[in-house]
Amino acid sequence: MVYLEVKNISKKFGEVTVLRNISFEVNQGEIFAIAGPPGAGKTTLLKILAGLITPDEGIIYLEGRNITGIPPSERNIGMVFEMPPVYPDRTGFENIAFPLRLQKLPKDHIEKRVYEIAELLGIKHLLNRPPTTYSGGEYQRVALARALVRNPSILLLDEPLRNLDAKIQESMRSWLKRLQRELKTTVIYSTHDPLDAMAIGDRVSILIGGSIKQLGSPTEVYSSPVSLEVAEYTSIPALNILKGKMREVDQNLVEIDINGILKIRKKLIKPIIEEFREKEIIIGIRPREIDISEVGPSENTIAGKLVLVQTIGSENLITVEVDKYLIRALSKKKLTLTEGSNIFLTLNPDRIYLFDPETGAALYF
Amino acid sequence: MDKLIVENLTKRFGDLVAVKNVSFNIKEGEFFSLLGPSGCGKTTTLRCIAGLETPDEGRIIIKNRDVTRLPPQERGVSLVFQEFAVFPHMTVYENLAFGLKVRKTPKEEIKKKVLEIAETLNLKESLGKIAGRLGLSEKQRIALGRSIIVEPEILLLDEPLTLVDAKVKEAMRRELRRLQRELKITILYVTHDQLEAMMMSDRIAVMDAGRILQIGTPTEIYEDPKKVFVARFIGSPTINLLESKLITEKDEYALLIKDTEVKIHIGKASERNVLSKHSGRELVAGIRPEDINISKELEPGYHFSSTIEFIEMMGERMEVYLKLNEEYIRALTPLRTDLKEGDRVYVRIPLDKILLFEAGTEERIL
Repeated sequence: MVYLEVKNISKKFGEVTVLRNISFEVNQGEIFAIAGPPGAGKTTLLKILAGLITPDEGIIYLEGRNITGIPPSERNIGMVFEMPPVYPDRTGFENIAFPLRLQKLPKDHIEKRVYEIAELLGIKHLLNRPPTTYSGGEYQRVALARALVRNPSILLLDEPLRNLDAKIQESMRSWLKRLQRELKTTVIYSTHDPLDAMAIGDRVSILIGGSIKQLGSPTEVYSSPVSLEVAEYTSIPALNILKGKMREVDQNLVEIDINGILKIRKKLIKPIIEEFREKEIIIGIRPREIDISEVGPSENTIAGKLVLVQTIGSENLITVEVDKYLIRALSKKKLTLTEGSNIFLTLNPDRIYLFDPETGAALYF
Repeated sequence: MDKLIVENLTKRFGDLVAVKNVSFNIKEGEFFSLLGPSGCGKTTTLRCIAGLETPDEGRIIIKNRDVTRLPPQERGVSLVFQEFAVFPHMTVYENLAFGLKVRKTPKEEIKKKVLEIAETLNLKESLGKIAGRLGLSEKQRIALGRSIIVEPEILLLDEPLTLVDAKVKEAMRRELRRLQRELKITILYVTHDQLEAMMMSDRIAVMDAGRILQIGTPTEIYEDPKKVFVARFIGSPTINLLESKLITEKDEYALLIKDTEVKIHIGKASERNVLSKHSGRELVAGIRPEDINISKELEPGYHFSSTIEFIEMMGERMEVYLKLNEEYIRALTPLRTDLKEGDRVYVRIPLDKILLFEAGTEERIL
């Protein structure tokens, strides 16, 4: 069921267009993630939803009711900013309990709820101390606990994990998701980190330069990016971007010469072949889609020199020099090779992306 | 050769012992990280080495010279903080040249060195630009360049990537590691981010509550953690830690996972000498999410059934939260379309991948 409907929202600050024609629908009980680089317009969009900023154009419906002109206090929307305010002269306990006290809940209920939240966020040791003694991360955790303690009907979270320790970010994220599944609160979650968005979101929208570039399930957005911009943004470790030239070999079959280092054959549909035959195209390859071997060569394999090995748990991120290009690949197996060794990279023709060099649009099939 | 030796370092702030008897060595050209949560004492240790704090006990030796009582500028160390040490109104060139100017280096030599470092740090195009107007990544490279150009014995980095965005951070980790290898700089790096430490370091010291719990290569501390804390802190998604009891059944050892009926047979009693003294005891079983297998059908070797509570997508992989009584077990699998929230599944835990810890001391036993 559509819970929140956003229609053609635009916003300018002076001459600068911050948001351009934003439309999306949020279903009741889902986590809708908005991912985008800094300056994409995420915070402005959330503030418009909360009623803190008035859009120049567009309408917002909440449960079928037009709320565009309604003040924040009447929207029943909770919002947590990256650094929400905390009362410096009260203890952590009082800060977290404050919204519940306003609701005049029974004392033992408040106490139970505050301890529950404090336990989950790992901040029990802060309950008796005032925020003036906290570190940045601790301060943020108390602020977050305070906003989460009262279960608002729609929750806007603006980079809520940004200032937390990496390890706590991870457990907080799954905790937030678990909590959301239990309470069935509708959540709009903004983050600069695409992996964060895909991990928590039931659906993800990619906001770049004030417009939504793609909207879909995490798998759709990740596996079928609509453009080079989206593919590049959603890829951590960074997308390998190379150039290629397309030559028609047969009906629906082309050979792509990648920077003169490898020729691969790939099936494509006729209209794309006709448009890009003998022309340059852009090729994107995610590091995880490249197979690594210590022996070679074989089909679709490039030989290179291993220049950097970085450990990620049981995996290795490697950087390989091929000709004058640096290619990143993820090895799922333990690597015995050391830096400076020769290594072979195998590309899977089905797992490379092709992009129009002029528009950046992804070319599929 | 050891470039830095820290011996029995202790630092107190009033009643709080921030650093307790910390010792480690850093070799010439090594990238060494102090890794731990906020308040573990890593930054205090770094500040003692930099000379910004005086230790209560212990010695600091840099290149065979006891520097414990020397002022910061006489120690041969450079320090880069989270907040980039960049003069915003100066050009990139002036920023890079600053340290050498202070040292009254001849002008020609300054120029040569600035151009060299700018080349390595990919700042050549920006030399004439005003530093304050540049992006975070460039500012951080300027800050690094400024510290490297004076050729310190050791470069001390205190969470230099914390304020940088995820995308930039990933690139910077590669860049910094490459640079360190190329210039053979000795680095002491302080961070709370285990991924960052793993991706760049030759060795890592994991710290908690003022102490070093383990020192090792990234692979060693990942595969062979000596303490529950280390196992939990290293690796993402976080390792599963299941309270268990070691029981003997018909000459076999089995782990009975707490508050469940789940039993995992871990071998014959005769083969497991090390377990004999732990029989009947409370243990913690550590299992990495990527080591857990999930199947929709009951297959041989699968240990128990469970329900998928929820799924987090991680690009080409997904993290599956499996319900086990009131607890969760996390499993990391390649992208699979046959699994969805609410599904009933079977779970397999490879026996050779289980890390066993004693519940009381949290020490590793197997």
